[in-house]
Amino acid sequence: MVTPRADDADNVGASLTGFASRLYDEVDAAPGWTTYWELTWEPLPGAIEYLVYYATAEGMSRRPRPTSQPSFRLSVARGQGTTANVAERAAQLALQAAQLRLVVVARLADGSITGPSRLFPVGEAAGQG
Amino acid sequence: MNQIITRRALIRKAVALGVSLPALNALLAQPSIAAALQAEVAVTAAAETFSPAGFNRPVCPYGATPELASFIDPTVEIEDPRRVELARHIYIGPFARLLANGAPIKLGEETNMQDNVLIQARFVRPATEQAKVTALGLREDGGVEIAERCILAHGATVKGPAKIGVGGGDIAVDPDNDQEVFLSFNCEVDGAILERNTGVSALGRVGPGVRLKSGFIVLPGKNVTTQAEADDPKLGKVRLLVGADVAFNEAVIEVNVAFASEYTRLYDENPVNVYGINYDPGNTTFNHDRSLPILAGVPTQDPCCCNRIIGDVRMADSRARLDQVMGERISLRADEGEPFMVGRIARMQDNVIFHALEEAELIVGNNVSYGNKAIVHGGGRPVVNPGSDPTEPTIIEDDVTLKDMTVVFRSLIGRGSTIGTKSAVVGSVLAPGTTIPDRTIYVNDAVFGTVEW
Repeated sequence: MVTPRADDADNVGASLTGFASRLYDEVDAAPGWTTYWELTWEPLPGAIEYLVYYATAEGMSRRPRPTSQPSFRLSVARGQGTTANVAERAAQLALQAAQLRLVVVARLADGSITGPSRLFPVGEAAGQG
Repeated sequence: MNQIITRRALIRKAVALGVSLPALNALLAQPSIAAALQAEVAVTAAAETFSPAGFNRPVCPYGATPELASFIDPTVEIEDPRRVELARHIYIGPFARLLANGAPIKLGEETNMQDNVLIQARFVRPATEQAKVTALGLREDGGVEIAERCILAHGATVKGPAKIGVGGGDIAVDPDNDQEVFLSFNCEVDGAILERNTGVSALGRVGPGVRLKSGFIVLPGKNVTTQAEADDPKLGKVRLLVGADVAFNEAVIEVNVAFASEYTRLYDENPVNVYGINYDPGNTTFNHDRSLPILAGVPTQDPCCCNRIIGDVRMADSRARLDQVMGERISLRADEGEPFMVGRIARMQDNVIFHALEEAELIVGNNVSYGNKAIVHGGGRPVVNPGSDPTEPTIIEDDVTLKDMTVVFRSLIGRGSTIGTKSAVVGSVLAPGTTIPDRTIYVNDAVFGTVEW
């Protein structure tokens, strides 16, 4: 469970809701295809921004990645050619989900932050959650 | 005194060395001593790299504040430290080795060497292989140069001459244009160059004379021995880095930079805190508090123990029994995830590593055998069981055997299972009695491939 550090703003306890994740492909001229993983959530009234924290097996990042929109996207697999190789893509997704997860909180106008979301494995399409 | 070396730090060091405070004060009152100290302070403040010689351990440079220090665990072995250069904000974990005999070793800012990492500056290899290294432009006595923001994860090995994070350039998926290199668990770089923004996955290898170009990462278990294999993903040994890799690398670096600070703080408060069986530094996002290991129900602080057991590790065995069943150079490091619940150990060979992230992250049963360089790394198991809580712990049930150089990561290993030599199990659930053959990469409940070296 993520808890704020002593120097963080007050945590107001509420959490974001309506999380969903999806995978989709884009094809560029170079290097080829790219699979993106996108996490979305319900906008929170009063939120001025959302803070995304990375979690790895080595520990929890202290530096948030702010986003003004209720979504966050990362590329999770890449390959050459114009269509994604299914096996190659699946292997890359499994490795990503095993190594990186995200936690999201919202920052409110008074500087307080909401309670943390659960950890979301990057690369895993979980649908509505 | 400036912020680099303080009088207070000097007094702490003197006390640790057994110098009485009156004697120290008398020494400092002498004008010549005070002037020499001030001159040393000025030199230290201006420097950008430091040799971990003399007093420059475990905090490097000596007396640096937590915000500026590198931290070298007291168990780290350094041969010829005058040939080693360390920049700031470096964390070097328990039982890492920097062997600089005959050639130099340089580590850049914010780089980390985790538990049991080996850097051998000058490695003797067969003439045919050495010729490939020379053809790559690496001098035999050139040593090992590791740039800023490189991750040398648990058990990684670098055999010199080699360069890591040097040359090449930025990549499109790293929008902030800084660089990271990731060497994963028990991998090896042998007489090779890894350019900026590259990586080697768990149990992967880059062989002599190969240049891994920016934007590529070696797949788990693959042995890259030719330039063609390093350059062409179609040959099945490398893949292209993606945004999630960059995010992962950035997070790991941030955590280890924090470790450099927090272990320095832990040492500053009392030097014995960073030896043997002892406290974790706490004060991190996941792990606020400092905890002592609990052995057979007894909170234990034993700086004299030759192994490192750090933080909230709850072991069924007593301190005395651990001496009977544990080898040497073992690091059970609960400085982020805690607690580790460890049942009675059948046998734990040398160089074993435990590490984890979240609460209740790692549960190990009774009568488990651990081979040399076995790595048990905690984490949830969301992929194999999508409906479950993703913070489920890594579990090793009773009577499991982990052979040499195995990696268990975010998995459940069923009772009586055996993981073969140099094999990795990642994000999987193994039924009781499962045998994973030697040199097998097993990811997400399926065989991913073999370990080719």
